[in-house]
Amino acid sequence: MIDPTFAGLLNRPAGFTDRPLLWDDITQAWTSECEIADLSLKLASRLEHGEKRLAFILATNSKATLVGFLALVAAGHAVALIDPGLPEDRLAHLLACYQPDILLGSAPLSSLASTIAGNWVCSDPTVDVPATAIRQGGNEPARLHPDLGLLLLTSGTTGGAKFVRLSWKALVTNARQIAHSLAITSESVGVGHLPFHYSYGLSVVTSHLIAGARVALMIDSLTSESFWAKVKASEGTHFAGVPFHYTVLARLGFDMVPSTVNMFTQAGGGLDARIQAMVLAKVEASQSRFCVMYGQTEAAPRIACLPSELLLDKRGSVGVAMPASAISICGQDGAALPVGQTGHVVYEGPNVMLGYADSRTDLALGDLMKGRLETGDLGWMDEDGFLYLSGRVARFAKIAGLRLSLDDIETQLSLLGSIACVDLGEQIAVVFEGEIPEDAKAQAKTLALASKIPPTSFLVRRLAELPRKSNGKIDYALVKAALDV
Amino acid sequence: MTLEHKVFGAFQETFDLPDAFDRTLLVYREFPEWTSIGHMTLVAALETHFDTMLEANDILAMSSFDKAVEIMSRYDDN
Repeated sequence: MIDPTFAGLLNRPAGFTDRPLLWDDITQAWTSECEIADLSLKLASRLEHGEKRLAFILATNSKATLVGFLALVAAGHAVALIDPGLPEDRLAHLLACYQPDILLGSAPLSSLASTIAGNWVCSDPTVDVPATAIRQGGNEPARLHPDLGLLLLTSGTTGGAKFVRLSWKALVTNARQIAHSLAITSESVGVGHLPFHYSYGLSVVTSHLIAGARVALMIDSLTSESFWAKVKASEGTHFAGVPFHYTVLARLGFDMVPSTVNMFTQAGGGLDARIQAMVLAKVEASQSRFCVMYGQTEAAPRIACLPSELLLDKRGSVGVAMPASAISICGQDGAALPVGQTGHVVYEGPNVMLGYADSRTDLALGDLMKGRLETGDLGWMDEDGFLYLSGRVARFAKIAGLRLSLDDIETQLSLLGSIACVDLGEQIAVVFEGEIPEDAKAQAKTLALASKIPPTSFLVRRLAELPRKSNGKIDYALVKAALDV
Repeated sequence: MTLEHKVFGAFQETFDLPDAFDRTLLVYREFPEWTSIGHMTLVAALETHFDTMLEANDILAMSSFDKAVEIMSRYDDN
């Protein structure tokens, strides 16, 4: 069964129109809604199999990726979006762990498919459709839960093979919530420069599709000469970025931004107050909007949004919960805390994930969350329901919008000596017990490069002794306090 | 130190390169580590080595090692 509404992302009861839908920077031209739908439905009929299968898309910001994604949605398959820039061994590990039945990508896939057991039929990519590799014959033993739609990796390039499991309903509901919160209209053009495989990047695409708006997918990035000319050529209205992008914009000067852009959104971590003030000045001068947002891949991904007109009144807040959802602040025991008290941020809404997966077997699992997500963030709420974040419970740092597991980093550097990693905002302190090993700085730098974060992200320090709790575990709060940074 | 050496020093610091590295491979978004984040790290390294501030247009135009040398010649006092 092929779903011509693409799970609701392109639900056009009156039929697909010939209005432009997608601009991409490979063809540098518009493709119409009916052409995208036609390409996607044709590919869906090739990929359709009678039962749900698992597909990996090595996703780039291209027309072919969007067509491949929509085709898999229409064919009812489960889709994992993968960064084609992953280190080879990590990709090999994911393939071995999850045994996908279908591979889609921008480059030929036969050599990759040959690493997985089975008889594969491959086709080459064009500018319109991705390369395909399809495993012939029946499904592999581990079945897939009927509600399983999308799989996204929990952390950037470090870390294991852990996916967030999302239903299409959660993804599509969240796209609708975002379109509503940001007032995306059919006149909007989303600048799709954030990676398609990144939950924020994907949400820019889906929230515009669902609102009948247009999207401009860019492989180019904002540090290249042609980027802003492309934004202008595609009449981009909505620029979305993580703190890194706004730091770059602040450095380059906001005059770079063409006048077509009338909305800036920011998520993926807290933005430096100095840079936020610069964005505000730009927004006021150009009568545009600036919306600060908060989310997690586990919530498909948007949780809260701060409307532009309240940015000054509610400075420092990440906004209010998505429509038809709720945020509460809970104590250690799970009981709700009163207004103004800091505790664990809990989100309840229709866009919460089904759960995590560590292996193919886990893909048979259903909804383990029941719409409730303990975010692992600490924060408080004011009397009007605006959320203010104050840190993380869990051991993750966010650098340049990438979520990095501090435990993974410790593991990777632990051969050097006894070590503790602490989140310092846009930096991670790597603290050694005793002396700093000779190789430490070089290894930290190599790890930073492999993790695609600036080499200056790691601050290598030493403490005579790492503070520990009574159970022998490192007391990270004391480590941080002892660093005096 | 020649201009080329000085520019290469900033690339070495940013991307952790050996002395004999083939400089023609240093092309923005083709060399794997030269991403947008790598780009801004490189700009910061060049600014430190040359004790200067780069113009926005020069930051955006710096798309290869050769281009970087050409641009930095305009910022070099020595």
